[in-house]
Amino acid sequence: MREALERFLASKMPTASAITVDGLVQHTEGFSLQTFSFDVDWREAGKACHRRLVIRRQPSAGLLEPYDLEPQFRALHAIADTPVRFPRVLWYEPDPSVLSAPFYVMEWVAGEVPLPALDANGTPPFADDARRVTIGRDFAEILADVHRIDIDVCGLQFLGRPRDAREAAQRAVDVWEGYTERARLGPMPMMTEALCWLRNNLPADGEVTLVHGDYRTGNFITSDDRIAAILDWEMVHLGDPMEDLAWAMSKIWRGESSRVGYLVEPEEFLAWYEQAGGARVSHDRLRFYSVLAGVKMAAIMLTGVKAWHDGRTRDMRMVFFDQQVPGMYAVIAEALGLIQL
Amino acid sequence: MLNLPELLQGVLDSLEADVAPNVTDAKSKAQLYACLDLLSNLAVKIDWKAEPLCDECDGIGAALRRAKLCIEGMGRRPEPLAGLAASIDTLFSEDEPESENRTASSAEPVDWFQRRRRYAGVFEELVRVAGAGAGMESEAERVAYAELRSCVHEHLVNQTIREALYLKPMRLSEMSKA
Repeated sequence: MREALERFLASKMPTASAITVDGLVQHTEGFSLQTFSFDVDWREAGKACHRRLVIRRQPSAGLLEPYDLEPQFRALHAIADTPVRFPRVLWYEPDPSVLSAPFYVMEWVAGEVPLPALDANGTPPFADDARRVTIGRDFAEILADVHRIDIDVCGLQFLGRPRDAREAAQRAVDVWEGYTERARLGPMPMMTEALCWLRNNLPADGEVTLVHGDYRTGNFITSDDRIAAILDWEMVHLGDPMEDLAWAMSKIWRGESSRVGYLVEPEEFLAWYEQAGGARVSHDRLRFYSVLAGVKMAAIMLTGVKAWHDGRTRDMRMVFFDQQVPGMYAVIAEALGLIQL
Repeated sequence: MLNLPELLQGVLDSLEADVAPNVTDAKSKAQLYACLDLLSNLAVKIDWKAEPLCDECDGIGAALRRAKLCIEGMGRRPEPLAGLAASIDTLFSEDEPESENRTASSAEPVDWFQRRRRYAGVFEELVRVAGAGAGMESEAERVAYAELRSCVHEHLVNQTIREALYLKPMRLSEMSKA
């Protein structure tokens, strides 16, 4: 892989010479795209240069198949000049012969990725209260920045703009029903119930903005008590901003904690989001998207199980979901108001 | 839920082909092969425990019986209600008598996993019918559909609680930051 990468970089950096790649590491965070980081050294205009970069490569099979990296690469490229903090993308390579699968290269952002789970010792993320609140506020404000991005100015129409929030919701239900049906290995009554409920309760109005699609604890890098970058834009699209809020606030990412992603209480989170210029919060639409959040996550898990079942991947991190899906059904049941967790 | 022999065989293949070659510590490798040996022998002898699968079928059975009564009380039976009623009848008529087959000594042991699939399949049909609310014309029909939805919800709630009892915490941290 190292030599192939050096050849690729040489083709993208025509004024560079003596390009060498070192310290190539595959990261295990994230269950979808494969992530590698590496150091690149080169000479340019008589000077020695160095940079650390990241590759995000399409897996052979996985949680969000079928994969297409191009829309997220184009979207990230389009919003490069906005205040949203994320790793800047450099090059996209659709040709699978270069590194065995399509990939894109982005800058390395130093820091840590806090996970939405207790660690092996039972300690929650963000144990320090002051740090937790600072990062929580940052988390709400950056989401407001994402939703304030001007779709036309940034040229994001290629993502497909729904006419209104109702059509956005209809599309979201279609997308996740599609995932669910493609992953079907047997009866799924809870998914069917939730999808029926979603179709019967489509929101009547609301705005359409850029939607990150996977905005949550676990998908950002922290550094010096702030969020240095928002990661994992695989599900970026144009839709209802309540989709991101409901996803970020879902029980999925907070375990037994009442705090959004182990960070701050829901009321605080929504208030900071609105104060930072986010969309006006609609509790009806939040409820709709909290049901969709459970469906979305269960559909992702089922997609991984199906890929493993069909022999398209042997990654054991796809099949453990087979026994964890009922936990997601409980999240759906709570969002539907059937139980209280 | 995958069937157990298939699941275990996949786990064995994965450990043998992808994990074992990358384990470099001799003691860990020895432990891994001992696990592989044990698992491959267990895989041909074990199956899913009958009790949770039977409990789920019992819960579905109760919901379907209630739904059937409700459909019969409606008088008019347009599609998809007639189809659902027929599916319920077929399921119950083809189902093995439970008490005789729960023992290991019975001549043809019940495949609990497949039985659960059949029950869940008909229950999913009920979910679809109740969710769509098709053919609602009169107040009586609206009441009947509310009753169908109540059958659905009661079982979904009970089943969610039952499954939660078996659920172990996800080892997300360990899997992500190995």
